[in-house]
Amino acid sequence: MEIILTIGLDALCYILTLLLVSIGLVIIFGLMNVVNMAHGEFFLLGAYSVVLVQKFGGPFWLAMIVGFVAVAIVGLIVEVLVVSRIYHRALDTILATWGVSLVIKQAIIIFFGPASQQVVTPFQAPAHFFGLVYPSYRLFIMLISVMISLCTFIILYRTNLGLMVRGVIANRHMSGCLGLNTQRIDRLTFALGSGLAGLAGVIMAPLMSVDPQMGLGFFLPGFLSVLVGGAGSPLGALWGAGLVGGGTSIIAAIKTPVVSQIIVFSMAMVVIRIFPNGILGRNR
Amino acid sequence: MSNHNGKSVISRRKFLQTGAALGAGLAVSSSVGFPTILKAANEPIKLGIMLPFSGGMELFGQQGLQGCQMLVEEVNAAGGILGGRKLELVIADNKSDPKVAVERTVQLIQRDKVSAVIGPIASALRDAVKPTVERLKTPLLYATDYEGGVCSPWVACYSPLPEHYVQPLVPYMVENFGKKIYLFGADYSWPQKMNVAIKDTVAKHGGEIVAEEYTPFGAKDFSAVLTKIKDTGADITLLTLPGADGVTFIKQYSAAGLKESCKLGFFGFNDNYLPGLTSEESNGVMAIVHFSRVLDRPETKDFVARQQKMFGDNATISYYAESHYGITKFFVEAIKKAGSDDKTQIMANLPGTEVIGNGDVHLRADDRHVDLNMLIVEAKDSQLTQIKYVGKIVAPSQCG
Repeated sequence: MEIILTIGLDALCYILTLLLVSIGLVIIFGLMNVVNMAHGEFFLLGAYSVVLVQKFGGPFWLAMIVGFVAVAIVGLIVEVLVVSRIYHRALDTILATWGVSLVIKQAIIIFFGPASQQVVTPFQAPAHFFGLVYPSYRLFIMLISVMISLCTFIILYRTNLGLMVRGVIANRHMSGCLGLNTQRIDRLTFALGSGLAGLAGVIMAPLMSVDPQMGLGFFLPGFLSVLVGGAGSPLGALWGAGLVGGGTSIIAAIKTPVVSQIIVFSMAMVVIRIFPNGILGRNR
Repeated sequence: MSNHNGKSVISRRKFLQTGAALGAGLAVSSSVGFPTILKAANEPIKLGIMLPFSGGMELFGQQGLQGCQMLVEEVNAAGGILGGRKLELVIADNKSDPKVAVERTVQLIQRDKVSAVIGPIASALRDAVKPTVERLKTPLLYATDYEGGVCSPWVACYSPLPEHYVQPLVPYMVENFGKKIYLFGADYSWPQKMNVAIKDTVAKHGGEIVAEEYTPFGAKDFSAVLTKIKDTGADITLLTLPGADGVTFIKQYSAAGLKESCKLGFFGFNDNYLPGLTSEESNGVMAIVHFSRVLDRPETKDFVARQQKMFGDNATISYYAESHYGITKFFVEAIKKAGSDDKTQIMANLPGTEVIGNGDVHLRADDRHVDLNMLIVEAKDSQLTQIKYVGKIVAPSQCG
């Protein structure tokens, strides 16, 4: 019983981690339709902002703010300088943002060196509940992930701003005719998505190696989650993360991590074949 | 041995350095008009460095280079070899990429006319360039721990093999921490061959393997495996998961509170891992190395002091620096013994015994691998501390 509970908790934790990591992707890739190859590097910048803040003796919550704001600003700059010029050229965005990712990664290597950096975990004592011992930081990640996802969905679906964002995405031309500043909203959306990637990096930094190559690790399952769930719908990310994250974690617990990766990736191929727009995808 | 998941990137600085080296090479070879004898006497002996300086494994490339550079400087300061000929390094970046490694190796040999090539780090790159150095009949000097089995007249390895690691550490851990062992590693050849050796040794010492498991490259969440380790009640986890994934694993292992109940032995762990971990995370991780800067031996202290003098007090002095210094030393001694920089002569004269950073190291004539002195270490307060000095381990011939 205890083991089933732990496996369930592990799976839930990985699902929520993936959700946290892909929430920025949902906005930039899912809604704005930009394949942002630099997303992993935005995540990386977030993680390195923890290193920087801790170097100056700052607390973890400050790193969360710094990570979000700094990466949102980087995202804004990237949008203005690069992405805004090529929204209508999907393939070129891949190449351009890949270039951005190389620049960011090399800049990190120049400033911090290629080695792993030290990050102090905020909550170290394991939590005890229902007869289980579980790392308290993982519980914190789950909580934060739920909160951030809720906030994002509320902003997108329950505020005027969210309405404008969705309006611009649905029909840029018409939104412009109705008096919305589409360029400004694009910038804001891209910055928000980038900032969320940075925040995810901050939160994951204590649990993984903080090095210049770390961005890739969550980039692939993140993209996969968004594709499986349905790129057009933010709720799809929940489905995608659930399927990819839950599948990976549970199969790894029953069989081995190698088998789980094979099964989950094959499953994703089948799902995308049957639902080309993802499980919750709408036709576009 | 380490994993890498980076894309190859163009490093402009290395490109310029390589370009500069090419320029220097052309300048030397264009000094026509001199009588041949005189030219040979003045011409430096070139040694190609084919290590990663970008693409994900640059950390190890940089440290290896540190070893080579120190030896070259020492030899040149002492007046060079073969009657005053200087040593010259020609540095090429293999970008942690097998394809690039082959291109760079061909360039070093054919364009730069090096007498030997040092490198690479990863097994995949070494296997990729092996046919090239055999075809072009140039020594490849490899100085990283690996899975064993390379038997080529043109390759010499200053490498801890699975036997060097497993024979001392596994019995020590079984004796001190318990009999139930969980094996976990990355899914490629080095961990799998390590685990073959581990299983063999565990059986001999009355231990029991409760599970043997592998993970794909770049996995970032190990909670499923950690739960299983806890569930099996294993006394020891033996890890063969090099690089960033290993750092991630230690962080999560420590956060799960497993370190108290299940001792972690990490093959390939060394000083490079410590800056990426807090002392709480790394405390108690056991490993085995052939060199550590904390060794209380005169040659170790001397080696560390020389490295610090050349690269600053904060320089990382890991076994990559020691092993690359060591293989370069064997190369220089071989030229001295042969009295020539002829490549066949160099290979023939490589075997011998040298004191590098930890006791005398014997490079064997039959398979061109080394017998190394090993020590068991444990991480404590972000430092490796010596637990037990094991001494010389002789691995079986790799040409069997």
